[in-house]
Amino acid sequence: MGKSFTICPYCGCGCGMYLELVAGHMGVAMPSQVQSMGAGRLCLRGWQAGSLIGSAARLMRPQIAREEASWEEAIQTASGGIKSVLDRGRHALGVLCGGHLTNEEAFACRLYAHDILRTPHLDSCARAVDAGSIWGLEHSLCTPYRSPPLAQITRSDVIVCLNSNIRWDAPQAAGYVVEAAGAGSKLVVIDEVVDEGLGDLAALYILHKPGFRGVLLHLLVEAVAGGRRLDAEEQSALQQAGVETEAFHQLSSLVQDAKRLAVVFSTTALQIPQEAAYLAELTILRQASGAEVAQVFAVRSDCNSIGVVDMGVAPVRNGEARGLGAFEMLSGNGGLQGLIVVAEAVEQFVGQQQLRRLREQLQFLLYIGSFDSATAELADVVLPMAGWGECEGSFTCHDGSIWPVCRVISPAGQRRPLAQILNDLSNAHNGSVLPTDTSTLRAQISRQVPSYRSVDWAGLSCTQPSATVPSRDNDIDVVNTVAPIREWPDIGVNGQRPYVLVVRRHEGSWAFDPRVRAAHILAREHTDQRSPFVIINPRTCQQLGTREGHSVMVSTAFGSQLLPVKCQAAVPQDVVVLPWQFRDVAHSLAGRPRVDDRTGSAYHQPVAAALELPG
Amino acid sequence: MPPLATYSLPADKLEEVADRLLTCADRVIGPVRTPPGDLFFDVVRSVNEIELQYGNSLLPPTTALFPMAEEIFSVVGGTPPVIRAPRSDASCLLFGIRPCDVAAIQRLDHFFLDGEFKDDLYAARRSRTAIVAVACSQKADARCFCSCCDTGPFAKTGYDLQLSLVDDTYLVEVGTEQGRRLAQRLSDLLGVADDDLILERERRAQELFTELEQKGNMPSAIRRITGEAVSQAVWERIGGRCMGCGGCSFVCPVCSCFYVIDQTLPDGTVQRIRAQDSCRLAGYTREASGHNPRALPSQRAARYSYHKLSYRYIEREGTQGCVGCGRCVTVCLGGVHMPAVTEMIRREA
Amino acid sequence: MRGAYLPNIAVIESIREETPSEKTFTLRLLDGATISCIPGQFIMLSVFGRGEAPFCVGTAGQDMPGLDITVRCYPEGQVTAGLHSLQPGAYVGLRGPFGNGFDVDALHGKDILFVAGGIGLVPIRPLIHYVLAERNRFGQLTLLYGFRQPSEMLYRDELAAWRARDDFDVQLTIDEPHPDWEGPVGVVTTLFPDLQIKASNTKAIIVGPPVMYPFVVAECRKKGITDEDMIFSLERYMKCGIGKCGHCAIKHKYVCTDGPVFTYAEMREMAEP
Ligand SMILES: Cc1cc2nc3c(=O)[nH]c(=O)nc-3n(C[C@H](O)[C@H](O)[C@H](O)COP(=O)(O)OP(=O)(O)OC[C@H]3O[C@@H](n4cnc5c(N)ncnc54)[C@H](O)[C@@H]3O)c2cc1C
Ligand code: SF4
Ligand code: SF4
Ligand code: SF4
Ligand code: FES
Repeated sequence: MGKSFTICPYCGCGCGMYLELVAGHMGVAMPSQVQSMGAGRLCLRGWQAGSLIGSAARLMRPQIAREEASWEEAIQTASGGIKSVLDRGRHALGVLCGGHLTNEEAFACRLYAHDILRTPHLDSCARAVDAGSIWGLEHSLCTPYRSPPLAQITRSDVIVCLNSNIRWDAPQAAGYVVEAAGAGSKLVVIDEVVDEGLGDLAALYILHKPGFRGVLLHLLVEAVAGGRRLDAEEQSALQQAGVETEAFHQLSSLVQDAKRLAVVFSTTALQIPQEAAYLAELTILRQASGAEVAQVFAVRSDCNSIGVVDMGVAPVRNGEARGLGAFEMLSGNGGLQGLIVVAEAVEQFVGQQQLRRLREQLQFLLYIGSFDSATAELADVVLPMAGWGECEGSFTCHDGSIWPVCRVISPAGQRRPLAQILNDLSNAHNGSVLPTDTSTLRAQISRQVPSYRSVDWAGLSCTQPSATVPSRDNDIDVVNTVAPIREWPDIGVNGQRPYVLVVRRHEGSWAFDPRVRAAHILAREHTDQRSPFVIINPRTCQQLGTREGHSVMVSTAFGSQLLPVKCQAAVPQDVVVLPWQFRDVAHSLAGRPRVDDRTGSAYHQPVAAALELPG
Repeated sequence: MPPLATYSLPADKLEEVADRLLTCADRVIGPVRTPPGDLFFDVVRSVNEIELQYGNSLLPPTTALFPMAEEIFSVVGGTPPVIRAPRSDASCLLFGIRPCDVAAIQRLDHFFLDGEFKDDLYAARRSRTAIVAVACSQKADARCFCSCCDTGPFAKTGYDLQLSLVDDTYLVEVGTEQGRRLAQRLSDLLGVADDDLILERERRAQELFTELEQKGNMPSAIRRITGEAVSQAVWERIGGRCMGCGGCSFVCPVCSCFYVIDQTLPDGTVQRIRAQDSCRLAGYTREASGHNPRALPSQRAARYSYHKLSYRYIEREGTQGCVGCGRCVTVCLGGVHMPAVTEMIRREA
Repeated sequence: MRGAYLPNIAVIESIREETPSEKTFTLRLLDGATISCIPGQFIMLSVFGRGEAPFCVGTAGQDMPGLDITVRCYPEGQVTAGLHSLQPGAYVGLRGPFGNGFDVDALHGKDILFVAGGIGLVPIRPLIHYVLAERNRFGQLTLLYGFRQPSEMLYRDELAAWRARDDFDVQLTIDEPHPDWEGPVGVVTTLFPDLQIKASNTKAIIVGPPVMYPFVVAECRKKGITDEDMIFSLERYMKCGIGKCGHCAIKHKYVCTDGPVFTYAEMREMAEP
């Protein structure tokens, strides 16, 4: 039989499928019914995954300055570029990986970055995108978070689904939500827009004002925790969120009465980590008060989001070396002189403009990948790497299970497997050797990644696949250093300004620090995606020499924008409230916050924002 | 159409029949399991790979005639270019397919082979393919509904040979001259089919037919779709739930749409490829100017149902576009597969 | 016989730039092969490595050594952009002709009103050639041709020749005022009110962008032209041209084999929800 079992290379649902080669050069993907999250279902991307194999966008030959070159030349040029960057210190170079790398490839990247280049700056875009949600979940659940198998969604009697667009972000999860709703589970959709799709299946559709989801979820936790009606302050917050009191009470009683509660969302959909924390909190509360089961199903962005982090593709955060995170590397503010991007079109995350700006700052950009992209276009050297279907490996799916990824065809054109490319680069660098074959890499993974010690690699064959689910404790290392609030830098008017979200734990439930909460609510009140603006304290406004309605240039590590000013006395002077366009700021708050012993408050590292008059 | 001939076959001789048939064609395609346990119609190498007690395969056996993807031709050289059509002269025997899939092949035959133009790729495969069907003696799959489409539990035509199990004997029906030649290869295993055997098969099939669900959704959907009596609201509801995966078309044994693309191989050869397509996908009708006559999911949902169930198409293609195999029920991400749609249409009436 | 999906090889003999985005390609089949088409039919043209797309035949006749096509370039379009980048002498693939074409016999003895919007003039041109070649078999002839800007006018020389004739009423209009334009301004339907036609003996041949159709239909009806006498050529995404790929189907009709020429009476039947 020409059908090899494998895992879909797109989203974090991790659908099992078969890949078959047709007429020598074409791939065809077919769902698996028995070994799959989806029990036979795939989304459009999955059904079309086979076409990656013949895609016209494949990189086939090495390039130097966009001109085709031989492998020898390209490796020499790449190695020369890397050396000249490293001459300025190992902190000058960063390595940024995609979330589609196999475990073996990701591990090879880690060896290359840590052992050969010795840079602390290693990260994956997938980690950065998921980090906010994952931090929120892990902080509440106090355990490295893994979603239960998606099929379990169908056993719930109440499903709380965040955003109908899980239909696009995590289609397989949405499929189960639809199935469950069809079979009688009560579906609650919480969304900023009306989406017909899940909408007409929903027993309750909570439409809130854009940006108010955090507030709404916070109130929900309060209501479910206390089993009570909202007080006056909360009532007015609810009103500001644009949610009817009646609908809110329906929502809280549905959650309160649920016997089997499922909370479903895609990790990329959340705006701030607190939202994930509240959702986890809901399940904890229900589990503690009589529900048979209450679970969070959070699907990650990329097919191997979990595995890539497991393999150690994350910034080094111990000792004196503080590695930069993905967005910090891309911001251009981390002082990097050189960047190696592995299999990720990073323009998706920062936009083409920012990418071009970054390119100007970098002395050297190396792109190793399977497909052409704006990132490849800007690179000094492009090394074409074997893609999905061209080399074997493994993925770690959303529930932590490890699955085989098959090879059905040899790498097209002059593409080479990533491990081999990295070995060639190491060789050229200082004569070192890195493992290139899958079995050596796997043996080394078992030795070095504690939770993969027991993985039965031999059992991970594409002809006889079976998942291994390793036990996992403390395998995620995403601890950030966090500056306590009193160490914030003193701020001048045109200097740095922090954006903060302060979270305080009290009486078993979560609340924003009241002053920030006020600012937050005010900000979201007026902030929609069409007419963003920045809210500052009237005094700051005066000091800046501007007025309400005039514009200021707001700059953060995640981009700058000219925005109209609104003044609100409720906003503290050391706070700048940024619009949704700066959501990356929120996403970047990935680390665990430090808890202040005295007050019980938890703080994030503030993100600096500078305000300047335009021109 | 009555069979050309009928025989009996002791049930325990089935394996020998299969074994004999393995030598009757270059490739025998039958129901076989992958190691993880999924059932596909794929090349059979030895008899013990064949599994006849299967819930319907997710992909239909029609992929042996109209594959998920195939080469139309390749072009080499440039001055002037030379076109090479793929050669496909291997014979093929489809073993163990169900009556609903036999009905689907009949509709595909009509669509691809009759009329002004014929599809050469399908024709080349079909002319060298023999069909040995196995009738259903019990409901094959929790999701199938041949009784609503009049395609089962046994095939009335369209097979070369058909085997129907009655207790410990198979009734063997010969449908075509090709089937007769196959039966000759088995003559030493076949006995006479007496009238009792034929009548008993008939009786049991009738029993099974009435036992299977008769919701009547299908005829009412056909009437209402043909009469354009389905409200916009229903199409919008269906379209709203559809997640546009295309799965319902890719697994449907009746669906025949394809798209065509050129791919350039590393050595410069250009391969023109066709691959199955779905009218549920937004890009299906989108033109280069950006204009899309079926831009809304509701319009695409209506199109899918119209093609399958409108009487105007039944007139054109001879049979309706759903044979009741139930595959779309398994793959649909949005829960708006054929039985759900006919139900929604009827509920509105 | 070659299979229906296998193209014949043709060479691009010459290329004429009509407008900044439209070129006319003269194609000649190799090895003395010939092609016979009637106006309104289309061919499937392959640019190998880019794909295949339908284009109306620009010349009609029996056993022609080749034919013209006029192609608008979509910069992102696989085939059209690929074709526009080719030079004379390049090889392409050609299948067809396909489709019903205009029923020229039914036009004999009739007054004909041609209504073209933009690139819609392309399929109409060979019909005009045919009609002019046998001018005395037809009644009054009118062409209403609307386009966006003066620079988008197709077939300049031919239009000039047609306008010079006194047995062919050719009226041109552009969508919006332009310094280089002295003629009428406004969409093509603005030419209708002054039109003098004998509705009972008129066939209207209408080709243009889909947005234009409802307005033209309304004007024709005002003039008293029946739905059966309004004749359109439709455009749909096409992959095979022979009624198999399914893309061009509207209701139970296939534009590639049942069309692309339909009367408005037929099109009413084909309206989808
Ligand atoms: C019967 C018929 C006659 C036509 N005659 C002409 C003509 O004479 N001159 C001319 O310039 N254009 C004509 N067109 C439109 C022309 O076919 C499209 O512009 C062309 O298909 C765009 O292809 P592409 O590969 O460049 O674009 P892409 O966007 O790459 O298109 C991909 C595919 O979409 C389909 N497609 C895209 N747009 C259209 C469309 N408008 N109509 C049908 N299919 C489309 C094609 O199958 C194409 O292969 C005609 C279309 C039809 C149906
Ligand atoms: S849901 Fe995700 S994993 Fe499944 S087929 Fe779609 S993209 Fe692939
Ligand atoms: S529509 Fe569904 S049930 Fe009907 S034949 Fe197709 S796949 Fe089978
Ligand atoms: S299978 Fe269901 S969700 Fe997928 S395209 Fe078909 S109707 Fe839509
Ligand atoms: S173009 Fe393929 S069916 Fe009409």
